[in-house]
Amino acid sequence: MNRRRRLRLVSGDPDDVNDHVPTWEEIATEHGQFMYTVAYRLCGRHEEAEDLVQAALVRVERGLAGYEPGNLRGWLSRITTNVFLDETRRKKRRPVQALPEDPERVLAGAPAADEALAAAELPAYIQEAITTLPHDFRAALVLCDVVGMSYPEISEALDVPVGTVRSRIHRGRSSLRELLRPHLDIDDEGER
Amino acid sequence: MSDDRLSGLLDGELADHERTELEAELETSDELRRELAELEATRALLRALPAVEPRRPIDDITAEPAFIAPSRSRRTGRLGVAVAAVAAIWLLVFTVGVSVGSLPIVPDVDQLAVQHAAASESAMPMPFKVMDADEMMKDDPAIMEDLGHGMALDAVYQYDDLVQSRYSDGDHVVSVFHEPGSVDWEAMPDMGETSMMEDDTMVWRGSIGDVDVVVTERGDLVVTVVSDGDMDDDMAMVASTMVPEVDSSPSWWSRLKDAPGNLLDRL
Repeated sequence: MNRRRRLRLVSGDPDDVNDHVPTWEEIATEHGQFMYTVAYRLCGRHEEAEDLVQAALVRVERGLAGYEPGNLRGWLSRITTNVFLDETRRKKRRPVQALPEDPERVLAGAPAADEALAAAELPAYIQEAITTLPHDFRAALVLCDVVGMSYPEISEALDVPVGTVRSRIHRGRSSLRELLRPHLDIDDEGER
Repeated sequence: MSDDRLSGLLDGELADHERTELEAELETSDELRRELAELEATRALLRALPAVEPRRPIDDITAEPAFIAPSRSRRTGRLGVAVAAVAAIWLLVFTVGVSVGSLPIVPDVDQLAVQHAAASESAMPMPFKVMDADEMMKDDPAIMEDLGHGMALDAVYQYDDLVQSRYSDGDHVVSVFHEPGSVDWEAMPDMGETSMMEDDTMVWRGSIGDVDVVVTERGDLVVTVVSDGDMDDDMAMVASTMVPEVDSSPSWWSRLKDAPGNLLDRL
């Protein structure tokens, strides 16, 4: 697989396509917060998100020489996600802290099914639900639903077949569907 | 079992024939339609998540320069015989390897020297994290409690796979970094010198500013030792304790290699 293949536009936003190779400083300044959002959605912790962004920027620095102008945010998302996955594997080899790995665990502060969750609290609750997912599912789902990458792009980013991407996304979404069901905008007839 | 074609349909990622088949199934299955609706609503919630505001300005996060990246450094400097002795001690005393691969890497000796200086001043060495030394020692046999001559382990830091063990006697500091991999000797900075010891162990020696640096391998680990320049005398003392009076046959290096138990006793 050609890892330098240009990513196609993922979000329809013309700003996502760059026709020049940015400097590291431009990336850090203009896309740092985007990387932070991706990192935070993956790990669910601010402190860890900061570390991930820093580590991702290290890889950006190393990779800029080989970067071909194209979908910069897709490239940055891929790097950030792979830093996250590498970090996850490292922690498994050398555990340093408890990780919210168990997808079956009960969410802290999870409301009862018939309780309405304040709108302002919903993103935090969704985030907590995301962090219960296995890391591989989480990575695929974040790249799809937060970043907006296509399955082939995610396949390339994670170096897994497209069929695996579809499976991971679906299994991740299905798990979230169970956790978030009380908050889904669905009527009794199953219509949105 | 849930049908992953449903997510494929929502994401517009189904082949035409798959989509046609699934749409026909949806026509006849209330259960499938409900599942699709719930997945779509879940997807909508995720896609509506807002950008995340960092707890501190993003510029502060991205501006921290202490990146320990294995970029190639180029410096010239003097040899650190004493530190080589320390490296040799480490090389020989360590007995347990970490089987996580042996990818060739080039330790960024410049950055490690910076990191050593930061740890020497007890400054929070970003992006390293301060680890619980006792816990780390249990888990990582490459971390030793004592280097001898009062050089006791007083801190362990970690960043990615790179671990820094800091030893101090109260006045001077030695940092021992280790990370998985093997040394890409061809790509080591050409200002230093790479040599092969009598037991075929490769060692790279150089100095950066006021510190001596030695890079070597132990099993699947790359070991980089950074020592204050002022440590030469003490390290020489350590070396002299470890090494019997000069005796060329067999070499002190070979004798060290053959007698790790004795070394451990003396340490």
